[in-house]
Amino acid sequence: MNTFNMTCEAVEATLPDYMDETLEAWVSSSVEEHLGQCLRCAALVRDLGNIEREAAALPDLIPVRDLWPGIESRIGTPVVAFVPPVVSETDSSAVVSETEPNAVVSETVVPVESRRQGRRLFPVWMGAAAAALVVLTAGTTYLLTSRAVRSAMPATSSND
Amino acid sequence: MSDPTDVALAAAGDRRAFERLYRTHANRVYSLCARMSGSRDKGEELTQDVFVRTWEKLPQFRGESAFSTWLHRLAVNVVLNARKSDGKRAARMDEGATDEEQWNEVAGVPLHAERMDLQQAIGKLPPGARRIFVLHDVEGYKHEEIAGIFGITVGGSKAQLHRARLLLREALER
Repeated sequence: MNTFNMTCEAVEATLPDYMDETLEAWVSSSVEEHLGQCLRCAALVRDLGNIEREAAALPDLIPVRDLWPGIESRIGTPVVAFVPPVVSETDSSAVVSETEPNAVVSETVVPVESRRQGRRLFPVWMGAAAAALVVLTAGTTYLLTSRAVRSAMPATSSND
Repeated sequence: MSDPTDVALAAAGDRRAFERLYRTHANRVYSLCARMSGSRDKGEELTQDVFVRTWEKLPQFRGESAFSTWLHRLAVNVVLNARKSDGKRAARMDEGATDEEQWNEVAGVPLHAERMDLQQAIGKLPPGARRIFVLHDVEGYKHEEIAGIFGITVGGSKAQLHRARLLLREALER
């Protein structure tokens, strides 16, 4: 295989690919030829290879404390359903945990009938208030307008 | 009980099964988190985040890869997202001079002097080089995978790895 003479700088530039074994065969042979003659570059390649091997053999680290209680408390936090579940006429309103479908997280007893009355009364009350406001505004406007007309008429006749 | 059984049970909401999964994989996840973040404290925090996220995501796990592979990738994402969201705080931790002290306070790590030296030196690497070194040389990721994770070129990944190895050689005075 044909090889060519490489400088130390050229070898260093090819080392990432050389160590990754992605160099073309003839370039790789040229690097090896240089390594056979240059102690400095040979030592560099040897050290980098050792670091790579030692890193791959590093043992797992072990946490100094048990992390499970913290995880358990976080995953155990109940998730309250955003949309309230449908309840029957006689049932209470219950919010169910998403993580534990069988677990009732909160239970607030609100009679279904009183909630319905509350929803019905609201527009009636608002309607009455709106009607009263319209009558009051119309009456006030009528009174003010008629007074203004009456006070203006004598002045007009005196000028004539 | 095997991983697949516990995964199925945990996905259905069984916390005891999930705890067994945690016990099986905690050290590997913690090692990744601590080494990539360069801090044992941060590693503990991130490990908890990883398993909380795993609990949330578990129902979506379809078993197309091994659970350990899926978990490992999720852990990498959590670490990288934490780095982005932490911003300046993370940068301070990464660049801080306390990394060596943190590694020196390691408890429960086998006392192989040579390995401890390498461990300390990894903690002192610049953040970018450290993360790529940990993923490639410690965790066995390919340059193509790392390039995809970080959004860089394969050549960029190789260059950062080479830089990390050179810095480690210098730190270890070889």
